[in-house]
Formats: sequence, C-alpha cells, structure tokens
Amino acid sequence: MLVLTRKNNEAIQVGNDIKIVILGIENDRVKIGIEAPQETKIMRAELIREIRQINQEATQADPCRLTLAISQNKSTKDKK
Amino acid sequence: MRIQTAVFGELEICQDRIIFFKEGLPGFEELKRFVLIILEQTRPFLWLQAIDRDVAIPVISPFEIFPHYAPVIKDDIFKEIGLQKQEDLLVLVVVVIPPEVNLMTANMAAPILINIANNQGRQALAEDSAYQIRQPIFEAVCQNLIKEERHAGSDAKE
Repeated sequence: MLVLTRKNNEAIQVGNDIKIVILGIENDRVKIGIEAPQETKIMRAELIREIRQINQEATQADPCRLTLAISQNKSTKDKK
Repeated sequence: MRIQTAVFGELEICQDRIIFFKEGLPGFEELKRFVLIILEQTRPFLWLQAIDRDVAIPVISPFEIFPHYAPVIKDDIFKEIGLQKQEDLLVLVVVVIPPEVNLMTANMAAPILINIANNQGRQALAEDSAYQIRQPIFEAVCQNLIKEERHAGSDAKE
C-alpha cells in the first residue's frame, strides 16, 4: 500500500481522472472529497463489507422453519 | 437444464428464466446466474437460487414492508441493467432469517434490481440513508398475511 501524508486542502491524483482532496481534519475524523467519473463506484468500505456479510447470512435461512412460522402466525390470528 | 439444490431438490431451469448478474452479488461475486423461485409455502418470501453453486437467498418485495419504498438509486445503475421502462423493474430485498424467525431483517438499503425485459439484475446501494440495512420486518409481514387472509375470506363468502 502506498502511504502519503497530506495536509488540509491538499490532494492526491489517482490516474488521469480521479482526485482525492482532504477537505477538513477534526480530531479523529477526516473529511474527504472525491472527484471521479460518474461510472466509478465509490462507497464506504465497511458498507460493502456489511452487504456481503448480510447476503452470506441470508443463505443460512431454513425454509421449513419459515414455513412453520408463517402457518403458525396465520393460525394464531385466525383464533382471535 | 437441471440443477440439484439442497432446499428445493432437483430443479428444471428454463433458459429464459435465468437472471444474469454481471457482477454477481456482493459476497457471491463469482455467481452470475440465478433463478427466482416462488414457493407457495414461504410466500411472500421468494428465493434467488444460484445456478452455478447451491446457494439460495431469501428475498421479499420491499413494498410488502414499506408501501412507499423509494430509495435514491443512481441512473447509471438502471442503465447498467438496460432498463427502458419503469414497468420492467422488479425490486427485491435480501432477507436474513435467523433460527428465531421473528428476528428476521431485510436489507432495505441495498435493493436487488431486476429488469424483467432482459433478465439483467444488479444489487444496488441506495444513495440516501433513509433505509436500514437490517430493518426488522416480521411484524409488517405478519400484518400483510392477516390482511390477505381476510381478503381471501371475504372473497369466499361472495
């Protein structure tokens, strides 16, 4: 990994068309601006990790248990 | 084409039912081909079954939970799946169903968008933060089932 130290308002150019600017530094938070072509996908890394995790967790579902929960729910409501 | 699945047994897959995810799904980037399985016993939940590995992901229409569901999605994403008409768009959200089923959640922030005109799909991330990635949904789903039952009941009387 390339490591660079930048001050407030300094920037990093990535390739020809991506520019990353440090917009503010406050305690332990850094505000970053990114200029990139429309088609470049930019997102918080932990968010994409979380979506991967959720998709993988979802495959653990047990359809039988789900069927049972749905039918139980219907029958308890019917009694009311 | 026939595939073997742990959950649904052997499935006969029609070529024209295959949904293509060019980039796979997050966490399953290598899986590009899925079919949507409708199982009466698990309605309103549907299943996205991968063709190239035995992976089944439960999904639900987000409108079952929020009737006015409207996340902000970049136009590029619709272009990517070649969407031309709003009517061709099928929106689904991934559901996590733990052993305690009533704790189920849906990922409302990252809907799966499918163009039913060409069977191209993609999981998108909403640009806004109006929706949660682990939205509890059990109550809402149950309410809908009750409503449906009532409708079915009143139809039968007619």
